[in-house]
Amino acid sequence: MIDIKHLRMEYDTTVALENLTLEIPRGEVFGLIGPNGAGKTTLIRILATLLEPTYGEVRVGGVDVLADPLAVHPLIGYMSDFFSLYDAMLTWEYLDHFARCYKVDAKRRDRLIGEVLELVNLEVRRDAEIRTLSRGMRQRLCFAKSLLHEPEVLLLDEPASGLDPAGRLEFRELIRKLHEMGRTVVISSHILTEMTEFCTSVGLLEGGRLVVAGRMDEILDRMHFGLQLEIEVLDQADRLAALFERCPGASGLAVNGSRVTCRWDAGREALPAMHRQIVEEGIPLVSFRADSGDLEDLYMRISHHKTS
Amino acid sequence: MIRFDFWDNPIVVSAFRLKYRRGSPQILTCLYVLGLVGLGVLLYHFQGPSIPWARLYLVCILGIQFVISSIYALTATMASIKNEVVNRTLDFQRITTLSPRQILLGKLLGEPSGGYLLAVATVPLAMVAAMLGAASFTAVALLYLTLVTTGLMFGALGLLQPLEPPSTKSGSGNRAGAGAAGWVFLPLMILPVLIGNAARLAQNPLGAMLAGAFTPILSLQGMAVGDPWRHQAVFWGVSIPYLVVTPWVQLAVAGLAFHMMARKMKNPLDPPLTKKQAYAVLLVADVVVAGTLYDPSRLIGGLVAQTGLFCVANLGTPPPSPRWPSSARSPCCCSSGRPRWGAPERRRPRPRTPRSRSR
Repeated sequence: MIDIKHLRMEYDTTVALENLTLEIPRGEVFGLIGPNGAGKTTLIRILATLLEPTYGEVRVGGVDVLADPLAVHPLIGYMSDFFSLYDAMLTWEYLDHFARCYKVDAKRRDRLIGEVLELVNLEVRRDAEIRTLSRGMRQRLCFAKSLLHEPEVLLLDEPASGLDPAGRLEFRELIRKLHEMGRTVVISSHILTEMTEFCTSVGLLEGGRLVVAGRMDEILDRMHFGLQLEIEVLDQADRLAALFERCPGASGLAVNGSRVTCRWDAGREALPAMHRQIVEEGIPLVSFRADSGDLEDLYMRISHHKTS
Repeated sequence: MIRFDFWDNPIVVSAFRLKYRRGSPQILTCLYVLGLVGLGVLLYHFQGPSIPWARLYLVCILGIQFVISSIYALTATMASIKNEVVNRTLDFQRITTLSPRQILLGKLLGEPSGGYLLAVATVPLAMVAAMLGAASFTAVALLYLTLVTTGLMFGALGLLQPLEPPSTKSGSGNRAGAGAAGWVFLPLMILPVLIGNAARLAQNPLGAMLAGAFTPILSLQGMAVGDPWRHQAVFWGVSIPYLVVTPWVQLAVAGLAFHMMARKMKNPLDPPLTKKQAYAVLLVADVVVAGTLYDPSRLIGGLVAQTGLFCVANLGTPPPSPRWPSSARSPCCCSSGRPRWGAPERRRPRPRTPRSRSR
C-alpha cells in the first residue's frame, strides 16, 4: 500500500531522513517510533504530500505522491498533533466544509456526516460551536474529518497527545475499528505501551534512519528478545529462584517479595515442562505469565536515543 | 487548468456561511449606503462652483469605495491565510482534492465578500450620478471594472504570506498585529496625498506610470476635472488611456501574486518563481520602464538612462551559478536561504547495485 524507496529529506544543512526504504502492506497498523527529532513527522508529512523530499520515490496505493499529489489526496486521511480546527464554525459545518473539499457527492454528504459523528460519539455536539468543545472532542472531530472521504490510508501524527486516559482509551477503540475495516494506518506516538496493543508492525526511526521495521513478533525473534517470565508464588520464592538458576534457558533473574521475574531464551515449547517442574517441586504457584516483550522493551534495547 | 466555478468552491461557501451567520453584512451595507446618501446631501449643500455636484459626488463615491475595497481585500485575505498558517489548518486544506489554486481562489473570492457587497451597493448611486451628467456610462463601467481588479490585486497581494508558523515568543504576535495595522493606515495616509497631487504626478512619466497603472488615482483626477480619458499611458510613443490600462496591469499583478503563492503552497521549500519566470518578470519590467521613458528626441541620453535602469534592475536577477554568495542572490531565488536551482535531480531512485540485480 505504501512503498518508499531511498527517501532522503534535507532542510538546508540538516538531514531529516536518510536513505529510507520501507514497505507497508495493506491493512497494517504501522507504528512509527523514535526519539524527538528522529524524522517521524517529516516522513508522515511527505506521505501526506505536504513536503517534497530531496530524493527518492514514494508511492501510496500505487500512485507516485510526487508526480501526482492530487491523485493521492483522496486515498489518504491525515491528522497532525495539532488539533487545528476553525473555532468559529459549528461541528457539522466543519465536516461539511471538508466533505465539499473532498468532493463528496451532495446526496451522500449529510448521511456521511451523521455516520462519522456517530462513530466518534459527537452526535450530541453536532450544532455546537467548535470553540466550545473540549480537547478530547476536538481530537475526535479532527479524526472524524480525516475519515469523511473514506480514505484507504490514515496518517496519524501523535494523535493521542494531551488526551486524558478515557480519551486515549476511546482512541484505541477507534483504531481497532479501522483495522477491522481493513484500513492501513500509519501512526506515530510516544505512548509505546498503547501502541503495543493495536500496532501490527512497527518501525524505529533514529537520526533520520530506519533502524528496524517489520512485524513485532518477527523483530523480537530477530533480536533474540526471548520471553519475559513473571511468576507469583504464595511462599518459597527463594526455592523458585534457585530452580531457575539451575535452568540454562533462564537469565536476568530478579526476586521481588513473592514475585520472581527472569528472561527465558529456551522458547515457548519448553515452558510447559518448566511449569510442571515448579508444581512437582511443591512450590505453591499463584500465577505464571510469559510475555514476548513489548514496544517499550524493543525501543529501550535498540535505540541509541539520538536525534536527527 | 483553473476552474472558475467559485459558487461551488467550498472555501467560498464556508466563508459566506460564516459571515452571514456571525456578522450582519446586510445591515452594514444598508448603513454604508445611507452614509453615502448622507454624504451626497452634504456635498449638495456645501458644493462650490468649480465642480458640478454630480461629478464631485461620483468621484467621492468611487474614491471611498476604492479605498475600502483595497483595504478590505488586503486585510481579509492576509488575516485568513495568516490564521490558517498560525493555527496549522492550511495543511488540512492542502491535502484535500482542492488544488492550491482552488484554495487561493476560494480565499480571494470568499474572504473579501463583504467588500464586494459594499461595492455592488454603490452601483445605483453611481448610476444616478452618471445619469445627472457626472460622466459617461462607459467611463463609469470601466471604473467599476477597475474597482473589481483593484480588489483582486490587493486581495492577491494579501495572500502572499510565509507558510511557516511563527515562533511562540509573545513578541511575534505583537509584531504581526503592528504589521497588519500598518497595511491599513499606510494607504489611508498616503492615498489622500496621492489623489491631491495627482496632477503633479502625471507630469513625471515614471510617477504617472506608477500612480496610473497600479491605482485609479489619475483616472479619478481626470473625472474630477471633467475628462476621465485625460491621462494616458505613453508606451513606446503609443498613448493608451489609463482607464483602459489600469485593469490589465492590476490583473497581471494579481495573477503574478496568485501564481507565486500557489507555487509556495505546492512546495513551501521552493522559491516563489522558477528561474525562467523570474527572468521573464524582470524582462517585462525592463521593457515597460524603457517604453515609458522612451523619447525619440533624446535617444542617446534616453538610451543611457534606460541602459542604466536595466542594469540596476538586473542586480536583482538570479546568478547563473549557485556558487555565488548568498548576498548577491536575487530575492526571487532565495527561499529560506537555500537556492533550489542547481540542486541534483530529485525523485529518482538510485541505480540498483549488481548485488540487488542478482536477487
